[in-house]
Amino acid sequence: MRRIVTITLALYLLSLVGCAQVNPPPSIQPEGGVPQVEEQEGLQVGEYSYNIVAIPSFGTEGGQVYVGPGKIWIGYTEGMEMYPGARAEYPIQIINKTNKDKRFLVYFKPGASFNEGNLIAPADVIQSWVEVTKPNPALPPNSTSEILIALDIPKEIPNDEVHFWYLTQDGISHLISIISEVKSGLEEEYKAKYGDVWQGKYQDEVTQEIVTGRVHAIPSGELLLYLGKVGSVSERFLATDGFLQPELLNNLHQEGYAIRGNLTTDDWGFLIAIKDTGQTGLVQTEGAIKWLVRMR
Amino acid sequence: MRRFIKKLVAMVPILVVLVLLVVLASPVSAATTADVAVNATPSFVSITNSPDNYGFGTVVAGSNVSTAQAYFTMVDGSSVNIDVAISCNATWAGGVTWTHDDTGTPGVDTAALKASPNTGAYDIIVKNGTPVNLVANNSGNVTWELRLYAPTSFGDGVLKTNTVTLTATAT
Repeated sequence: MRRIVTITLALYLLSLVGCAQVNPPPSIQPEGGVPQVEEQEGLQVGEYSYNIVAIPSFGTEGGQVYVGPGKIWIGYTEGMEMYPGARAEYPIQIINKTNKDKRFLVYFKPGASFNEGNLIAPADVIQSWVEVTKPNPALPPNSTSEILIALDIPKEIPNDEVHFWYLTQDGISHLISIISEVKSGLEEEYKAKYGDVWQGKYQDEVTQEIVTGRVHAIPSGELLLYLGKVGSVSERFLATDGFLQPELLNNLHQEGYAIRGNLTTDDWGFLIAIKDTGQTGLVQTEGAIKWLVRMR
Repeated sequence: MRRFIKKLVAMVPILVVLVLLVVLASPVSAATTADVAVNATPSFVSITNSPDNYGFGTVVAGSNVSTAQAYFTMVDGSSVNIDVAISCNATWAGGVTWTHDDTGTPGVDTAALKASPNTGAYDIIVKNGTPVNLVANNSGNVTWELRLYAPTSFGDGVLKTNTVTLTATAT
């Protein structure tokens, strides 16, 4: 009897130990280069290597400023995708290889386009999900600083924030051509109608409202705001902004110019840009790190 | 038999501790479902641009003025292909400010900019919002040019300035 109990206990303990090895942490396959694997509690971090973007230093400072890594993939390992309620963190590095003190601006930026196929995430929603621990780091000459960037997706996302709309490149060109056409047409119309004082009338009326002549009245201020935000805007933004009215949106959608995205199921992305705030020229440069997100 | 049962009872706390240790030592299986993979793709991107200024001089209302073709040079020192996007500020500062137009259409105290990568086409609208690619999947140096579309009328004759930004990302 004693033997039976002892063997049973031993088997039970062995089975418990065995259970702990059933689901080992998933491994991440490096995509190239010389990977250095780091691990943090509750977060599997894959290979880290420098994908460096140089921010030129103007004048005779010599040396350069680098930031890296330039491209970060979140949730691209099967079974470890991003999901509402999850938080992903990654430290970016700024390396000041110049002989001058530098101060930088680290900030969220919507992407222009993603060759990887990711949709441009609506800034009006996800900007608040992105945390920059040190948005204005100062670096002495020949020094390096790590800035932790976190993407913290809320567990509950309102439906009108989950869904967003974006215009394809063709759609943007199409919309711009309509607006340009309307604007130039209206100028002529106002000149003919008001004579010498047309500019005042134009200023008063047209800047308040641009009539497309095809679909709907578009408040010009909102138009500029909208076009400034293209790539994409959430349905919440559209509802409160009132710019892209449903009929216009449907028309654009039917013509293939506008597409509806979903933040919880589609792949999307954004940029973290790093700019040397000491640049004084009127043509400046900055480096931006791509954050590419795959949802579960 | 009774002695064995007594021994067994005495072992219960030890067994409980052992079981707890085993359970506590295996959070991996529970945490795995909450893990998120974060990877970084190795590559090296480096750009510089010069010159960093240009003055369009005195402009006539409703006109457009351009830099010479290939006036600017972006030097690409990258180990991978890059995208370089172009953007500018929403407002032209100075006196009665100009609004920057994101459709490329000038208006009353409203200016626009267009650029092109050494094609002379000036067909890329420089917007103050989302940057637009000046070049994509690029390898090597790029020369480029800029054109100002002056407002159709001015509120004053004070110098106006705007800042153009080139944003480099790995393709």
